[in-house]
Amino acid sequence: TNEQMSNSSYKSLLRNLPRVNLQNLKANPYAEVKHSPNRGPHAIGLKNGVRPNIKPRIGYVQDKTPFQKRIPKYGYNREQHLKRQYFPLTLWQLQRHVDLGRIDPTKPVDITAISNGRVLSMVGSESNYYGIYLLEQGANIFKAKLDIEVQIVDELALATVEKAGGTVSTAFYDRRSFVALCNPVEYFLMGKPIHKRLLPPQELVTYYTDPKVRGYLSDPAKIWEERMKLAKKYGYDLPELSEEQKHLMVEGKKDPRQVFNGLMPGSIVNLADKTVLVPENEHFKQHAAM
Amino acid sequence: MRMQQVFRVCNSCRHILQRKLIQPLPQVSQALSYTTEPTRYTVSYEDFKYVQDMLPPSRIPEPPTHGSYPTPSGWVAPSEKAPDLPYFISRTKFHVLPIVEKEKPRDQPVTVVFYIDGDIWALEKELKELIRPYVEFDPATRVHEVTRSITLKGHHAEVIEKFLYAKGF
Repeated sequence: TNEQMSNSSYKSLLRNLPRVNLQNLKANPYAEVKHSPNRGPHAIGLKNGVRPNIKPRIGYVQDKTPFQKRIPKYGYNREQHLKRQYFPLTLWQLQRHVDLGRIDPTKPVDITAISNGRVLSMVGSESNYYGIYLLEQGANIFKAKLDIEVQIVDELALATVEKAGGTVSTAFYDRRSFVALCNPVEYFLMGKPIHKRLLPPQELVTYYTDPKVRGYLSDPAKIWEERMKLAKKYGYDLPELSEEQKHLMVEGKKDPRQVFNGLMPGSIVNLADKTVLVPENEHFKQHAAM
Repeated sequence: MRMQQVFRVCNSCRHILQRKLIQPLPQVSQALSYTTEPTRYTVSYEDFKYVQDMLPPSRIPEPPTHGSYPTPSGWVAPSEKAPDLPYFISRTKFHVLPIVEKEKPRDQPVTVVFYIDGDIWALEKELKELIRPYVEFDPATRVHEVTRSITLKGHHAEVIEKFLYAKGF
């Protein structure tokens, strides 16, 4: 029949003609051609067929990384979380608290004595604090005879304390031992064995081995020479030290690996029974001596 | 080409990698063996004296008596007997007179005297007369009976301090 014939002819046509591809496709005749808007550096966007007067952002360069991204930036507060901070303590403050009886001048003055006397409101765990900075304000009135241990000291402050007959030493404490020294009761109540103090980092080794600032790692024989030199520079006579002070400078010095004076690392303090549990095993002693 | 080079390098390194794996793990050092040992300790009562030095005082210590006043830091002790006056001013916890100089907003300088007992108005009259030569206009004051304080316009802490030390507070 007619229909059968027509069907077979179409089928044969489809078989012989090429397939529809992306390459074959063409737009319809009289179709509208839509141009994509030109997104160059000069203007962005096309609104209602009108090019708005919007310039690209400042520093934009076509097909290039912009200037402010290519060059790395260094801020004022860069690496501030790594910087060591110190509580400032003036000589006037020290003198006032000696006058009021808050600091006992017969005993050596250190971080615990200053925090117990409420001279500074030190919260050890507050921030990146590493100790006390002794400043020279009040050098003209300072007369107390003190044996002080601080972390950093001014030259004039050092001279005035030594002129009055006292001694100064600078010592490094890591964060953990500084927090323990600020509030020793809270530390002992944890019931843990006392830890070992760390040695100073590489940047501070030169400071704490320097006899000019009475570093705790320096040679005690050189400290005597530097005391004489400083007395000559500022023009005063060095008063003679008592035997207790001499003992404190050389033999009775706190060990560089000790946090608390007289307490071996590894021992536990019992505040209720008023005792100290000292370990006897040899490896504890080895660990403390290392 | 690049892939071939990578394979060649891998093949050359294979024997090194294998040797590392074949090597036995490092033996546990003898120093670690002490962990099994029970800890022996001594109970020392003598060492507690070091702890005793570090314990904070439970109360504010009373200031010692000095030979002469003012002390090097400029501190003056109050007189032993309370002065015979209708008012009384007590010291702060730092043993100094409770006089504060501060600036309100809009930079208005103000001095405040705290901890006043007894007749506040008698003290206010005396302070007005004290400050009058240092002020251009009539001295402005405010008396607060609940907080026991007097505020004065302007910074006059030094003058008032001298005046109160002379009275014996």
